Amino acid sequence: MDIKGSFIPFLGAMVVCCGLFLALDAVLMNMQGLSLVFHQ
Amino acid sequence: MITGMKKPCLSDIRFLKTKVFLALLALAVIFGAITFPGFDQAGVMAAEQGAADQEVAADAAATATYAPAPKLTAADYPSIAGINSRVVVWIFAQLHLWFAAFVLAVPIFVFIIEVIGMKTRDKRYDDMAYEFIKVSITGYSLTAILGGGLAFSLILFYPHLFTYLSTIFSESMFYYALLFFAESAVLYIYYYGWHWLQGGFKKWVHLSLGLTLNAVGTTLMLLANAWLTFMMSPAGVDAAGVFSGDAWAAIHNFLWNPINIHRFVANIAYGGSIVGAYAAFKFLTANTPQLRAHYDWMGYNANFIAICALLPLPFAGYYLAAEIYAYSQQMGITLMGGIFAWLFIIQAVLIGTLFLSANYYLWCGMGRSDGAGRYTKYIKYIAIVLVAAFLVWFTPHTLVLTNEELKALGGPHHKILGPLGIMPAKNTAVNIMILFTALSFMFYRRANKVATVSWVNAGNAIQVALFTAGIANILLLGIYHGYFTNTVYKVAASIPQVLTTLIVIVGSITLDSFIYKGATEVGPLKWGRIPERAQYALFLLAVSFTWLMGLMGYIRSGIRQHWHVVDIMRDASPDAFTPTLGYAANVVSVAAILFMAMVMFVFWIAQVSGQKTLPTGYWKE
Amino acid sequence: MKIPKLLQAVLVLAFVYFGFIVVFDYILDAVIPSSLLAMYMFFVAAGVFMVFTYDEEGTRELVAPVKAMVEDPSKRLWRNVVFVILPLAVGGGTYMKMLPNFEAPLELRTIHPAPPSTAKIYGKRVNFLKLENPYRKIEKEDPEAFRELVNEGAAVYIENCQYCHGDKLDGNGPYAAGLNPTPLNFQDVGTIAQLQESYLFWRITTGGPGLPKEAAPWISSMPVWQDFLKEDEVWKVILFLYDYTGHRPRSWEHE
Repeated sequence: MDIKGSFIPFLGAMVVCCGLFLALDAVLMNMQGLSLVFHQ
Repeated sequence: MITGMKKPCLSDIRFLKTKVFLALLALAVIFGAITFPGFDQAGVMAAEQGAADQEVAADAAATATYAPAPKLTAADYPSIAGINSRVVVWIFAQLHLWFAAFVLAVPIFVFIIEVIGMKTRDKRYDDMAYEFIKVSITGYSLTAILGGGLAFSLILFYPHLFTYLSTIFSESMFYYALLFFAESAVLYIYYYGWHWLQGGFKKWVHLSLGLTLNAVGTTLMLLANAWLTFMMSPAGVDAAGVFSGDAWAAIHNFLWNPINIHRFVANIAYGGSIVGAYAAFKFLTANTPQLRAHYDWMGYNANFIAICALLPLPFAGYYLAAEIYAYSQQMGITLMGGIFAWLFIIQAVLIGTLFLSANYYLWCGMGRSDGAGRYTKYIKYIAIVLVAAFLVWFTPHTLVLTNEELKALGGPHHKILGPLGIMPAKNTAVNIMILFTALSFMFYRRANKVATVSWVNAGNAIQVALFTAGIANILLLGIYHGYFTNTVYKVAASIPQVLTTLIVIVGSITLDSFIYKGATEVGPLKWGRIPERAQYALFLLAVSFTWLMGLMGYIRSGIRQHWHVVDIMRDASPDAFTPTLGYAANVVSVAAILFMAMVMFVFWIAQVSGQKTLPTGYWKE
Repeated sequence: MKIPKLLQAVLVLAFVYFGFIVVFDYILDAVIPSSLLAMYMFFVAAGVFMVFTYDEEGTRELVAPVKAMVEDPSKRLWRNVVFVILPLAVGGGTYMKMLPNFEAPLELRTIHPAPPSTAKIYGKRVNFLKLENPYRKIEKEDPEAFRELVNEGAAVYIENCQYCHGDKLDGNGPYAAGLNPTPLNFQDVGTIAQLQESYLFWRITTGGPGLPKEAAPWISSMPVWQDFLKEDEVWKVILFLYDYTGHRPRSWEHE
């Protein structure tokens, strides 16, 4: 596996994408009056 | 010769001014078409409600009072010997809807194709757009004939219902009829003037005609949608069915916009599949390599249109069903938990078939490129995911069990497969199917290119990450919010799920456009080099779509059950019963076969018009 | 050794088919219904077909053994054997399927019947679209009083409902084994968690006989509880059902 050329960009992009998607989830749930994590 | 900046001459300036003028005109037409039916602005509406109520009360006092909805008996329904009035109206309505969907969709993508042609100055696009419109011209006549048939059968067999509805919708029905003058005029000039209105300013005029055609067609659809959604979610009338006089209230009833959105998107997907079937038919009957190449290219474009519209379609459908449930618990439960639930399993199977056909066509098409070998090894993994998601997608909540299985399971519910039968699993599955279909498409596009940018490995790694993160997010939302929270969270989580899919698709396509900037082509695409099997995938796409629409049309109409207008005007006709699933499926199938026969007629006519026979010795010298 | 494509396809199908059976019938101990397995295998076969035939080379390889068997003169013996056995097998299978048996016919029940828009309950006309649990608002207003109501509901449940629906509200009451359809499992996410309280009120008060006509035949054993319980008792039981299972009734806004 090409560590420098592929794996590091993959890891970096994963962190960024996962963060962005979680933020998206939180924003969209908030817009509907809910939180991301469920509580009664 | 001195080269340099060309001094703008008079004709250039005039050309520019006309462009601007036509653009403004086009905008005005769109704006006019949109504001005529209007789009709901909830906040504004709420604020205006008080004022509107007073106005309505004043109006009611001032204008003629309307009668309540008639209470009918079986004797009020005329019968003509041997004819089942319900089946007649049903078949006319469905046939009309299929053709209407087709003739509304074609101008949408023809407009886009014409723009592409104008931008790239590639005549192939213009010719393809013309060929699509040619096919739809006969379709237009048939739409009108069937619409007339529908109107006549409603008047003949359901006169009281028609009277009631036409009293409420008198204005919109009048405008609807008038708009057909506009629709016909614009369509005929657009089609017959295609080769006349070529080049420069005339081409812009032609394009504006296309835009107008779309505006008028969309308006017609919006008006007709108001009548049928009024029957499901009446507004502007009181509990006894007395009309308040406010036609706009009756038009923009609760389900109007959900149906508008769903039908608009679905029409495009459907239109794409029908012209795809046309292209497939012409491909199979082509006798020269040039014709084969031409129709192969056309089929690819048609499939592309169908897929593009197919991707957002499940969400439009989900939104419609969710709104039906929000309006009436009874209709919502009948739809998905009651008698119609099994039809939704058939729907699931057909939708999965659509996805599989579209993907298969793409995979077969990869053979057009000599560089496809680098990506074909991934096809089996995409297939595994697609089939697995499809299986989840159509797993019913209520299983058909033999008595042995019932005993073995201890009841009709399956503890593993049962949870797959409710919506969170379905939403997750369909999002995955959509993502992987987009992936097939991306591999198809990449097959003929070799990236030349220095950061191609990093770029691909980012693509993998984007997809992985997206899939993980979809699974998280589907499983956690679907099964470990409550209903409100469950339904709400479907929004970020959809958006994740859309973001991954848009993001990865954008990223690919950067990765492949300045990419070298492996070789020219060998249009025509595709197995004939693939054309049958296009046929399957069109047939599945047709049958699916027929089924959904029955369901949408059938959930009104014994109401002409829900909770307001009861259906007292002898046919006011929910038929068995088998019977309904048979009627839809018969209608679909009739439609296919008419479509073959339409294809044949499109071809016959170009044929010439030279009868030697027939005419006088 | 290269496995011929046709054999590969057959092996994949066999692997998936037996995989389903092993996983569901034995490992998970929840048998996979034959109707569902048939549908699953049909589409797995479609998927296998798609993967093996999207290119010409693959298709040629896949079809080659069949073509050889049908066309190749040297395969005459195989051909004759297969052409005799295949029709016999198909005929035998058809015969077995058509044989009458003593198995009771399958019933396709509608698990979630739709409520009527109104009904006569406790002598008055009730509109289900507008009906609300009168005690639900007490949950926020007076939690202690709410607890009281839930406990009263629990008492009603234990005295009346647990015989079928079970003391753990999982549909495994003492009588459950004798009933078909089996009593509903309230713990399951697909039952009360998806429904409104007005729906539960309808089902409890009108019972099996109150189910709508369009999804007959009904063989539900649910008693008509409005003949045995008072209206407030029914609402309190509903409070208890949600409280015990931890589900929330279906609503359109977050509370």
